[in-house]
Amino acid sequence: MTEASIRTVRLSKWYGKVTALQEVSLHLGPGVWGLLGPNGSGKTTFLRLVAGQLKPALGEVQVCGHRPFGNPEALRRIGLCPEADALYDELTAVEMVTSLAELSGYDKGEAKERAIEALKSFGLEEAMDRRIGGYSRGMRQRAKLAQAVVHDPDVILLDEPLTGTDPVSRQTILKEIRRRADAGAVVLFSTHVLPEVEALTDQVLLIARGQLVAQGRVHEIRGLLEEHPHHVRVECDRPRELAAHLVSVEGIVGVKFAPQGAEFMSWDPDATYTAIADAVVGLGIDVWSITSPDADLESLFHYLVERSTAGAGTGADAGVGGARRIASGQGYQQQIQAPGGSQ
Amino acid sequence: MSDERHGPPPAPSLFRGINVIFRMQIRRLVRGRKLRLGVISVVLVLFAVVAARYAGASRDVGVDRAAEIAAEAVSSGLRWGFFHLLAFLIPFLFNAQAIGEEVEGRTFSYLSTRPTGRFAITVGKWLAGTVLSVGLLVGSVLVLHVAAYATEPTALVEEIGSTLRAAGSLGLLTVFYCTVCTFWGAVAPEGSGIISALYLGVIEFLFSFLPGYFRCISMSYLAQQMGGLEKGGLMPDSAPDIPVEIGVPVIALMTLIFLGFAALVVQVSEYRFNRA
Repeated sequence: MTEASIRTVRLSKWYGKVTALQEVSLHLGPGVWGLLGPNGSGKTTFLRLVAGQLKPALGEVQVCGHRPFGNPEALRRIGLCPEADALYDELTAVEMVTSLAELSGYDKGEAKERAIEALKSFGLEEAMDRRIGGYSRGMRQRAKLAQAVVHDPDVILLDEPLTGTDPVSRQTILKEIRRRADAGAVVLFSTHVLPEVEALTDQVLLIARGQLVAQGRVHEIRGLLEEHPHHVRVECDRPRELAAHLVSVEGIVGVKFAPQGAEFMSWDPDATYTAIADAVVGLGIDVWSITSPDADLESLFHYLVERSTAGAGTGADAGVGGARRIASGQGYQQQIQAPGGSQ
Repeated sequence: MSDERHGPPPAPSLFRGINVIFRMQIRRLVRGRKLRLGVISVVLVLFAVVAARYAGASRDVGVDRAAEIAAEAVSSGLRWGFFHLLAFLIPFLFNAQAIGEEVEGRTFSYLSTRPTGRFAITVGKWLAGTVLSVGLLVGSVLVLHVAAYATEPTALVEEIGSTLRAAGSLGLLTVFYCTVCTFWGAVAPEGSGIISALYLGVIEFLFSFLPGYFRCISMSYLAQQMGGLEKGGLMPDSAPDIPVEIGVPVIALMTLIFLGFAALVVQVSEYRFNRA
């Protein structure tokens, strides 16, 4: 059996004159991948193409080596939790998940066993024999997740999987997703709530205006953003003295003062941290905290979306390519595409 | 669940896929409002026909006349209550939204991302609506027969053949209408109700009253002929007689054509996923 994977080559999709997805090429192996992007950026279109619900307008998508649209060999390896809050309200959760497991190839008895097991793993053991029409939003979400994994798929596609869930079930869901990824599945989940991603993985795909603007690990992508110097915030008792000492350090290009500290802008964060440590020891400064306010996913997301929006149009006139740097890491490609730049 | 991942099983056979979809759809129909609506409609028609039959025989009439009144009631009930009303309504209720409600309700993705194949989805859903429709209508015709001839035991037995013949042709017509509704539901899920109603109303209902060969466009006319009902409508004598050996293959062929196209449309459609 081929390894769990998603591969796309110049994958494009448009709805009439609107370009939903433009020339997305990537390869995802086992693990959890966060699919990020603003509303309307093309995340759901991408998931639908991978799930075999849409046919590519151009390019190619393969799931475990097979094209998914109408292909049982690919579809049997896919589990999809769609975004829409739509379920079979006339059925109980166990009836629905059992039927869908049967459609995945299990006989009736085994399908029911697996359905019960899947529903239990998402905390629905108490409610599984009740009709779904009477479920709360969070319970419906968990029933959707249970049907997505009941057949042990190699590729799990989750579109906004944590919508409407309470903190306890959120933990249950995240744990279950992580467990399945650890067991060798590719889990691709889309969201626009960044802490959800950070709680689960640091591997992300960022889509904006239908284009893949970045793929890889958060800190590695951050390192490749050349137009935004890293920010290092130091809260201490003598920020001006510290700043005067550091201003000549190579890589530091600016400083901002706050009431109880200073924020340094640097192209070389490692050298900056070293210089701060030396200065603190040498000058005897009391330091309360050192943080990197723009090293989180949210900052990265905003930089990349801003970058994409600034240079790109939509449709055929959209600028693609630009400055591209490739770094190796975990066998995946880290890339940034800056619209409007030179390749 | 254990930490070991076994991977997904092989894709199920077509027959198993159809069987699962059929059971799912039957369960949904039985628990939903549509079956209740269908049963209420059938009960109302039965009540009206039986009430008219016994109102007509309320005077003290002879045995022969009473049997005639019962036969007239059954014949009129079949024509107006079943062939011209319930035969349209019941398939419409059970099949027009079979695909459309999945697409519009956004549950289609649960089925279309399974390896069963979309052909099984179409056939399973069509079969569920068709079995319920045929069962309800043919069963009701038998109830009508028993109720209309309840006071005339001899006629009850003697006339069963002609009623069964009418029930058979009604069943065949119902299968065709279920297929037509499934087809329009597959082609235009958002407008399946109105398009099915238009098709049934114009092509099937109105054309069955036209003179000459025009009424042969309506499968309803063919079925009424095979069911032994008298010709009605405009210039009835100009309309051709349709023997069973022509009527059955024509309706069966039309059914297969519509079903084939419905399956083809479902097979290749992106449906409303194809939206930004």
